[in-house]
Amino acid sequence: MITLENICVSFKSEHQKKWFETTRTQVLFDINLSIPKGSCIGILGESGSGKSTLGRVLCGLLKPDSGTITLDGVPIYGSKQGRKLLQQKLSVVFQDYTTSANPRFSIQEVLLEGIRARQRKGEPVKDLAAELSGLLSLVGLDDSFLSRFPHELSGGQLQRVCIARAVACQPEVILFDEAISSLDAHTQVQIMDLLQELKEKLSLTYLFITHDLTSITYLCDEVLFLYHGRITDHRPVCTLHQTTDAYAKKLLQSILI
Amino acid sequence: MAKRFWKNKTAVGTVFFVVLIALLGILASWIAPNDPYAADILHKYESMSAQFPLGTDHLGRCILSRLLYGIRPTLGLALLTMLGTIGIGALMGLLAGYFRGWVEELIMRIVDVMLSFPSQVMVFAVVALLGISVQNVVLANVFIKWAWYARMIRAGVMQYREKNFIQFSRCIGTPEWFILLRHLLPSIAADLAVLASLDVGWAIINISTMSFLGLGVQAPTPEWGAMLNEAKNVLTSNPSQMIFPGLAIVVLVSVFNLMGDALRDVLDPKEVAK
Repeated sequence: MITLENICVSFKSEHQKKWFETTRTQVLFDINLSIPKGSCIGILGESGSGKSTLGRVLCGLLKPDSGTITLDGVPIYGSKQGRKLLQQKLSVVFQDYTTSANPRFSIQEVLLEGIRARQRKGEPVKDLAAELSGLLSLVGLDDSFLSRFPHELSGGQLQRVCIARAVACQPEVILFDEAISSLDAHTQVQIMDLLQELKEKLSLTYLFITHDLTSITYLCDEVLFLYHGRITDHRPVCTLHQTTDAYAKKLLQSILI
Repeated sequence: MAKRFWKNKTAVGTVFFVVLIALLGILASWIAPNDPYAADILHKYESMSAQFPLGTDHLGRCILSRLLYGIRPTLGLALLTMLGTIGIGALMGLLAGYFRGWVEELIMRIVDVMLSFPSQVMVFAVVALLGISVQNVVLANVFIKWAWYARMIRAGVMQYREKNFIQFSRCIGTPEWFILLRHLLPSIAADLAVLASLDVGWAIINISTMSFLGLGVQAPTPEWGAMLNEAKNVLTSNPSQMIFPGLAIVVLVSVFNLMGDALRDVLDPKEVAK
């Protein structure tokens, strides 16, 4: 469904040695990846490995230096049509739930933004109130939350609202940028169960960016190791123990101990 | 929002005071005890009395009446200046902060050029160039001051631009006007309110300064700065002629500055959460 070919990304360095010099630091090297429909792929890497940059490239917010990324065969950078297609099919949930929702919006308005995205696709929404409560019940919250504001919700509740908002656009792919790393272990399990349920109900494709191997083994089919901007290993989760890559081995060991 | 506003005593007090002053100015022709233009040379420098509550000036005109009539040009022109500067500044700041790229380069280089001139001197220069009149004072103030606000608002916008809720909106293709008007503008509303009320204070002082120097509101029209100008010749012999307009300016400017602080608290939802 989504294919990445030879993606390279670099940023201009902050400290230039000479005047007017433009040294660039490369962050992603030659990323090749294909994401089939209905899969759940975990992208695993330590801080600074470029996994969030990869996420930004995937959601259409950062144009790579070279390489192509196509969605159903349409390149998403370079043409307005491709960008629009991506906006219709991809939704995102971020790590930091404290800034994920506009603090001036009530939960109702937060969710409405997602529903409006669906209306732009040309799908009529007849009963807004029913739609809103349907979304909330989908993530296990009730209607009393609609009039509340983000700062009146706990982290887990707010993250559920963010998931509901992501689902409200009726996407085919949802990108989770460390979406559950900042929650406590119990809430993490709850949210992951919820995600699994949603995936089956709505036949979604998940992309999971995280530094937490346990949550990947719990949820994903395939895992991708990113180390210093390069993909070092890509294998199904069930054969994780057979990994030959040094970095992946180290990571596995550090968790088992 | 309304509930938060009524809870904040400073906000209610200052807004009430400003509205009261504005009403006094609007209703000046009914309230004022005397005609502000009626000169009566026989009663000059009179002290407080029932007929002239704050005494009379060097031409025997009632100081209270002139103060009341003076609210119109003082406050009206200051509000006009504020609307102009904040309007242009907010628009430029929003565009520069949100779109980045060449739009930002263009706007911010113009802002840099504007900021490299000392503002007070530039106001004089512009007024001297366009001719001495009230409109030109307002125009000059707007023209010189918008760059300050554009820069401050851009900084605020850039801070919110990278926030996740904006990233989400951009990711799912929310129209740009929605992001600018519903996400960014309310987010910087608190900063805008502070800037706006501080700006009114600054504009009152500036317009009064121009009138004091004889470049703004012209002689017979009552304006607080112009009244100070008329009073400066008799500063030692009849200080009360200077005290009242001076006091009025100080109080009104302070109230606007206080209002700025109070409004920031009212508009910040997290302040209430504590």
